Amino acid sequence: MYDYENSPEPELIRRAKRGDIKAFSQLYARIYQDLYKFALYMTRHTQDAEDAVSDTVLSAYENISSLRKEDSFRNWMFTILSNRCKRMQRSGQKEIPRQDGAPAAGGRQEGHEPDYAQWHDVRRAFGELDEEERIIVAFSVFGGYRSEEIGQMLDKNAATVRSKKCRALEKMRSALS
Amino acid sequence: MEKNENRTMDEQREAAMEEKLRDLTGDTEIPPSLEPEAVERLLLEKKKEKAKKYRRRYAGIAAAACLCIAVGAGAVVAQHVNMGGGSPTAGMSGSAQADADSEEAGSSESETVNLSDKIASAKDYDQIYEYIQAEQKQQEKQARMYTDGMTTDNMMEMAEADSASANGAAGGSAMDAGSSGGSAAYSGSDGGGTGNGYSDTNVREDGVGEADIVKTDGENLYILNGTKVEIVSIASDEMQELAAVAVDADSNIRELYVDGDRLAVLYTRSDYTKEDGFEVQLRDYTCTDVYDISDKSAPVKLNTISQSGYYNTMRVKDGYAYVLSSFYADTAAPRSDVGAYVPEVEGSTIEADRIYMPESEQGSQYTVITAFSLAEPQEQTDSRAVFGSAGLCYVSGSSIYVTETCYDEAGSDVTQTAVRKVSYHDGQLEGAAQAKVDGTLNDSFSIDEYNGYLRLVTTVTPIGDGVALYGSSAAGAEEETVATNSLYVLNEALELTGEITDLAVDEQVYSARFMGDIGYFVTFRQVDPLFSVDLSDPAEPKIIGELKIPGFSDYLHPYGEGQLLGIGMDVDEEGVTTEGVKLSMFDISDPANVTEASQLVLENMYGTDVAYNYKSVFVDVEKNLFGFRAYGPQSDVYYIFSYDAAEGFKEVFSRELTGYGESRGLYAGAKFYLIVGNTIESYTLAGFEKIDDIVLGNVEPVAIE
Repeated sequence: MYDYENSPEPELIRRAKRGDIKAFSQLYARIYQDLYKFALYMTRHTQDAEDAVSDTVLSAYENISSLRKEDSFRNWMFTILSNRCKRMQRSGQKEIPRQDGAPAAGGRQEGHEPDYAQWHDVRRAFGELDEEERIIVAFSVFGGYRSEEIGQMLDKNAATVRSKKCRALEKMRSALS
Repeated sequence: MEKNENRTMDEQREAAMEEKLRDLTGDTEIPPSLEPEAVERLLLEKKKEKAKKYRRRYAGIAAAACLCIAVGAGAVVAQHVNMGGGSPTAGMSGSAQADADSEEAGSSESETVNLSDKIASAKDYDQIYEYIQAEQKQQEKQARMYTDGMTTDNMMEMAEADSASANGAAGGSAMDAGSSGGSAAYSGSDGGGTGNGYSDTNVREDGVGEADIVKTDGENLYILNGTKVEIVSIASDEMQELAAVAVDADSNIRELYVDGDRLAVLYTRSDYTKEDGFEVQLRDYTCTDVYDISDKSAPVKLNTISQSGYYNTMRVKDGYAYVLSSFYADTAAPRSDVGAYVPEVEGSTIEADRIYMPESEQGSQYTVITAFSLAEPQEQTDSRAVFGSAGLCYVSGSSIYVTETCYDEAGSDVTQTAVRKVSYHDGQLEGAAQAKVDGTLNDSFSIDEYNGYLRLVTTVTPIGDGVALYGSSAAGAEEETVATNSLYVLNEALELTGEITDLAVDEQVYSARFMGDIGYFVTFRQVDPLFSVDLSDPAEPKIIGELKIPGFSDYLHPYGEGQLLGIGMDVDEEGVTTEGVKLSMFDISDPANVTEASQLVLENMYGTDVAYNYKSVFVDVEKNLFGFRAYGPQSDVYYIFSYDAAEGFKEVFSRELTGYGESRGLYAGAKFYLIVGNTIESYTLAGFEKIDDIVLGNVEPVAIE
């Protein structure tokens, strides 16, 4: 039996490209929690986040042949996901509260969301941010990316990313205190 | 000063805040549908669904094949090669130039940079700046259009950006595996060996030298060991460390090259520059330190040649080194800050007329090429930069080909590869020609020059609209994403002379090898067709053979008269799970009727380093030996095999490897050396009996002045 768990990423990618679902799922298993959290705080809806991640998985699986040997699966997934989230936010903009922490209007399956204080607070803090700030903070906190890397992903100067991140985190600090 | 302190405090506050956010979200509940097991089940369902559709569709295609070809032929030819003339760029010229571009290269008229297939230089830095702005606009536009983001375009840019950021550390060798190779020229050191000869790096192109992490001149080994390059004498049975050279702490050695009395150490150096006394910005330089090693125990540094960007690859021919680096323009830089978007060589920005401009009129990356003499490295002899997007490079005996992948939906509905050719000779460089063909290259073995003709085998993938790519979409949309493969022959001016298109529908090129007038390439989906192509008439390349066997080869190597060695994977009949590493010897004495003369499966081994970097292969056809590292479930194993037509493959050596360091095998005189990370073991070449071993790291590097 092939040892998926201890297999190096390039080999899993190779296998996944040949249609090996187990290999793909192993690659996914290594990052799915981060992916979900990223989506959750980008979209601020559990259902949206779930949809975004599962769409991302399907899209990635379908298109894995375009991932090159030397590329990182994680970066690739995060890029797909962030674009997915951006699109969701644009198409459903009205339903997302911008400044206050009030639950989203429009009854978007609010009942499914766990309503404990933490989630509420953090979500509210993310709500204080504009889209770009949100994506920078989410990449940084859940993706673990450095400003230089985020800059490359968003095609922005690293210094710009750094200063935006600084401001965003400051906003969140006051929102959380 | 005060500002800096503030900055550090800010950083601490930020880090603390990020940590807090991580804490607060630490126990986020993940929906059951997203657990890996659930996702696996979902994908399995999709796959079954798709398999059904696929079979149905395939039958349909086969039945309709004749009709399609007859009807489609004219259109296909017109679209396939888009030479020279300014192809329309989204959002820019936007006219109907696409119609003007036919396979008759250079005939199209355009007001843009490139009027013909002749490669064009920048008018001035302003023009470069405009191109960068154009690319920015284009990207913004795409970001808006495909908020879904996953046009292949974005993915690749993303991926390229990644390699850039990863260049500092581990990412390195993978990068190189994709690029091309050099050779065993050793012009300066011939006759310096022990008489029995020694092996050189397995190179992409015979006669063109190529740097690697280990080199030998027959009497010494030169080994990259962390931040040092060590020289180890192998003159006697007992190996001895003679000397080491080092680079500074902010640098990262990538490869080295030895030619007679010269040692070249190639590394990427990261520089922090202060702007406004506050803004700190990272810039990468590729540097080559050249040492005089006439005294092996006391190397003397002669010079450092530097150029912008991170190290890509290097070649040596006739005593001249050609170093290629990839430079990413700071796309946010103001026009006045030329150094941020135009690459430097030896501290000065490259002049505009030495920068070749992309046909697409937009770009953000450069491939920077410098040339210098290894004997007299006091200054570079020439330099050029190819602007656009950095991609795979292939170096023949007289030309450097810089390729880039294009996903410009306005220009074409399939992926394309732009090729720019820079000729070289004795340290001089000159832009020669450019062209664009459909499809993308698998690796540098998919592009090859012979007798003045350039041959390329590509996998052509339609550019989806981002929505059709989803598995749940209608079957019609799915069909559009089916890949095919093409072969192109271009002449010296890179004009199309012949082509074969629509090969191996829904498969992908896994490996290729051109051998003079015949080319071989492997595509794969469920079985491994090894195609043979007759290229003797550049106007009419012909598929003359197609051998179907299970599994696929990642790497092909000519193995003596009428034989071709394939190293790859064995795959079960459904094409789903691999059964082990597979060695195949193909009998190619009749290229039209290739057979698999012999095969051997290394069960349970799930991959080889060959698949990622051809330089890791040890192969000497005359000695009838080839070696490589295979990845196993418990540990990696270094294998050496020989081949006999009657008895097939024979394992002559195997050694379990415990370390993670990269491995290389080579021989010098009557001994075989296995280098893994910082350890060397020597064996008799005759029976592979162990002689000696040594762990590096016991000599202090010579002082850096």
